[in-house]
Amino acid sequence: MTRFHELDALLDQLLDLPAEECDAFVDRVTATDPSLRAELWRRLDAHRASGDFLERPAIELAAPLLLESREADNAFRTSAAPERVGPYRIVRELGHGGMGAVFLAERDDGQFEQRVALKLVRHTLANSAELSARFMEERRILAVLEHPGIARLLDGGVSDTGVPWFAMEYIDGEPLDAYCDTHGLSVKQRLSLFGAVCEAVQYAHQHLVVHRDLKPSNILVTNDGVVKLLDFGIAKLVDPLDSGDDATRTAWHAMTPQYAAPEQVRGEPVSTATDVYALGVVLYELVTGQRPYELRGLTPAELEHTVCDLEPPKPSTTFGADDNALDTRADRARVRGSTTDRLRRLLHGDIDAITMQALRKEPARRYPSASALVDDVRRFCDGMPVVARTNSAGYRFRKFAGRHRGALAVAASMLLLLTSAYARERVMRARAEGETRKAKAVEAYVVGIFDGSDPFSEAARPGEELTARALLDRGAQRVGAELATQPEVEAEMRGVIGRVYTSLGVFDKAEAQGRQSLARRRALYGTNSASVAEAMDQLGVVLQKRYVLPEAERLLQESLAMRRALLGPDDSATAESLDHLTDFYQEKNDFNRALGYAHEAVESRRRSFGDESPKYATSLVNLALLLWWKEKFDEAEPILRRALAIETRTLGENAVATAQTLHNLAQVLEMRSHYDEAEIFYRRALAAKRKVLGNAHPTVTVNLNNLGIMLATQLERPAEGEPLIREALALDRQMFGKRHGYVSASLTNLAAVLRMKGDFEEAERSAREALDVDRSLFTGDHSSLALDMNAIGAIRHLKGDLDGAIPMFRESHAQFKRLLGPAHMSTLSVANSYARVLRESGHTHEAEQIFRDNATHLDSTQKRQRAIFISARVGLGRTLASEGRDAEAIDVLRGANDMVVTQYKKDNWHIAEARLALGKSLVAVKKLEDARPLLEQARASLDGQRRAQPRLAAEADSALQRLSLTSRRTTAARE
Amino acid sequence: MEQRDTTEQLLLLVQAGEVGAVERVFPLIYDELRRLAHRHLRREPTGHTLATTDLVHQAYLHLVGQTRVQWQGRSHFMAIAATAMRRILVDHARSHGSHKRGGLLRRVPMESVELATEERAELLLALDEALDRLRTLDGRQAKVVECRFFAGMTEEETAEALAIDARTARRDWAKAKSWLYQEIYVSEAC
Repeated sequence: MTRFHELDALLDQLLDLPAEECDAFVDRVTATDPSLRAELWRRLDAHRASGDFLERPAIELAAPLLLESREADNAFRTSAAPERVGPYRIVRELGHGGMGAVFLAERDDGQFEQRVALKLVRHTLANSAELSARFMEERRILAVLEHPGIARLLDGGVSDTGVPWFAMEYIDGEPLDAYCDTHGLSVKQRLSLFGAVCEAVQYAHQHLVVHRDLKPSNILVTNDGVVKLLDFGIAKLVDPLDSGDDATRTAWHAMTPQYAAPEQVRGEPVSTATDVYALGVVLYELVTGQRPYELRGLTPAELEHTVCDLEPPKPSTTFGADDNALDTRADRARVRGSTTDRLRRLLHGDIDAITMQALRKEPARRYPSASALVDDVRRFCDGMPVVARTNSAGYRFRKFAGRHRGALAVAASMLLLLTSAYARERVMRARAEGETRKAKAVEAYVVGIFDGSDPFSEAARPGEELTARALLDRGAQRVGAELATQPEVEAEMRGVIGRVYTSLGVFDKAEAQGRQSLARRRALYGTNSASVAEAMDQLGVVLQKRYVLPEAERLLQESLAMRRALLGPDDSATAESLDHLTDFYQEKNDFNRALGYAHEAVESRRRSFGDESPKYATSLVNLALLLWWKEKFDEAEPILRRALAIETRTLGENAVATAQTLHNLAQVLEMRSHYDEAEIFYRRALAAKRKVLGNAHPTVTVNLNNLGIMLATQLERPAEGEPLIREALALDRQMFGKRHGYVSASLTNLAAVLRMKGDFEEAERSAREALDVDRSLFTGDHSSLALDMNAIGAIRHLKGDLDGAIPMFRESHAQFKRLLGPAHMSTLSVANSYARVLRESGHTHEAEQIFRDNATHLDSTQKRQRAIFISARVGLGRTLASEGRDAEAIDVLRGANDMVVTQYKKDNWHIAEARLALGKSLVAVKKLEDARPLLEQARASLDGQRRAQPRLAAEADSALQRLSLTSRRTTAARE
Repeated sequence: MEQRDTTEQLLLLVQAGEVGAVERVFPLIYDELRRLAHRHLRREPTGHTLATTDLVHQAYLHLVGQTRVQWQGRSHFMAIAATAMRRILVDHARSHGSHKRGGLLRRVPMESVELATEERAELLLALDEALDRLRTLDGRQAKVVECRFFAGMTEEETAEALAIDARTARRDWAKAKSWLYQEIYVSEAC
């Protein structure tokens, strides 16, 4: 026993003794140990002295620390303006407000002259390195905003003293409210300006930037009447509560209370709906000249109550009868070129309804977007009925019911994860029905899940306490034995446990539970029941994830048929089946069937949930997914943005569903060659998923793969892509073992990156392993098989193994053609590779045909298509040269050379190949001096990548040798 | 493109959140408590009317739901929340930036004088470190301190949160207090 525990045991006894017996007790028990006696006495002294110690809660002790941060903020305001910040020289102060001070500044580092509005943020960075990294990341996102109605963010950084600064486009204009009043604009003219404001806000929302601090002083109107919004997204940058883990000192939100939505006042998460609220306040003020609430002089508690609980007066009533002698009605009407009576009538009804809808307390009940708000304003201006007024009680009830259902579902599933609300409910119900035996069984089951896990036992180290997964496993183990007497409960519990396992990506356990649940339900309810259909659907989903495709298909189809017959087409369960079948046929690459189910699901969701629900958004995403496969990227993008807006608003930015949609949108943007935005979205989605799900989850590895492969191939940054893909592969293997579609996809991607690095042996091993895995999963044509073979072909070609490459490309090409059609980019891309090896192995005629064919399918104005187009033209030129038709070849290759330099980075091997090909043909027709620079440039580029492009590099060497031979011979002949 | 789970499953993951350990549930509770604490302080800046347990209960309702059922998970939540509260306040003290490791505290009982802000920060940090040491000696006592001092729970609430009886909670509290007092105010002189 340690000294601590010895003392501890003695204290236990001492604490029970009356005070007068303590001395004797101490003497007795420490008679043989004087040092123990001294320690015990010291401890007893401490005990007596510590009477009040720690008796007041810690938060009181800490309160001054929390409050002090506010004083530090105030100190900033009074500090002197710096002379220069970054490359800017301060000219004069333009003003200061809640967030900091704004200066007019000039760039004078000799680069170019530019006047900017420079904002210094009132915020001391506790950990400036970390925060400035976050700051830079956000700044990149803001820099994407390019809209005539939004002042551009030009530059920004963190000063030497740790103060963040921004340089924005300097706008010479008047604040919106002042502009309207000084120009005496009518209500309709004001509404028209307001429309421009909403459009700019909508644009930013589509780029996932929320303003958070919209107010007239942030909305300027220039002399030409152009609206410009300032400070977009900056409120977020400087709001430390949003910074995730770093606990910074400053905790007061950057916001202006008069324009703050209830969720901001409460300190809850903001969304695009928060901006819609602020737009409502701006609208209110524009048409009435008053704010919805008078907040001056209120305490914070009163302020919160006013904004969160009280209804503001309708705009029209601000022009109603008022006894107040100081009333401003007449003045307010005059600057609007009207009278109080006319304004009251004008605003009554539609404008009242529009404004109040924007100002709803609950974000979900406001206009779903800034553009929905402006649409309604325009409808009013056009004399059309406005949506705000058609939002009848019936509509609101539906919304309420939808929310309620969702909330119940969440509560239920959530409680299950830690204990089980479902089981609880069973207990309650069983008790109410007097079935104590059943109640006891369920209770014992739930309690049993917990009993074995004492998270505070000594053995538990921090971080190992009470894992939800451990509870789930325990629940799964016990469900059979402990609920044997309650088959209905057991069947449902297994269903719920299976669903949770599926969500966690633990498919083998999910399958076991799903099968048991289905068997129990069949025994209980017969073959034809909604409960059985549910279990079949669930099991079908799991089997699909485990790549047991035929059985999955049968289950999903049967479930759909049963649900349609028993529940009807609009039931959410039926729609769920439709979603799952959409997924399924997409997995099987049967895109036409999948598309049919997807459309049906979207319609079903719209009818039953309305077009603002996350379920509807899910169906939209599934639809977009199929459009993606069909390469209809321009159609997919707006659908995904719409789904993203719904999910951001209803589920929040960091929800997994939102992150998945963001990821999908990134993929569409990648396909449309918007790589910078795609990278940002990929990374954001990945961060959100990791935060919520940890690393070992399929949706994380998909994201890693797609970001990694884009970095490697499109952005030519293989060194950045490789670790991401390796991480994905390791996680996939850990989760799924060897034989799984995720593992093979990661392997194919790894092969591509390794090939780019020139590690051909490991690359080929990876690609062949991928092909083996996929062959065990799929029979017949499949895009995965085609991609694997394409990968192997490409590696073998680079190694010079043409005979090995030809059959791979041939089969890959044939499969893509059958699966996706002859004009699909994947088909065309493989066709190029195939024709290239054909040419190199002497089949020039066949190669020429394919190259010529290819070019006719492609639109060279589209960046992605242009890449394939250029390859086809270079291939054609080289084929012609191989046939000795160098004059024709030179024509084709000159065109290809002009294009290729705009397509790739300077040393890309495509450029080198185009130069090399043209140079060789020029040598052939004796235009040696034209050829020389081309060949030298080609070799210079290829010198650095001899490992990755050994054949091209060797070809460049020999072409240059040939050039020098030829020129020596020519010189000799001349002499 | 990636496969989509049903919305229900996704909500489940997001709301229940955490596929893994308490360490991943922890940030949610931490953030929620921090948010509530700031909100509370903004309204009542004097700090004397703060009831930390109210914050914990609010966080519970917000994060776990409106259930009135007294399921066992609730007490686990409370115990985790106590740790979170400790972290929040200690983080604040740390960011105060005045902490000197190994620096001496003046040996006066804290309630007898109004402590300067600086001393408050140091006391919190010293307590935090001492509490870590206590944890290695007697984890339960350390937990009791988190519940009583950092989460402001009563003896009964502490007993419930840690699934111990009230007498044990009382004794642990008394023993922990005297040990901490000794560690912070006495030991360094010895």
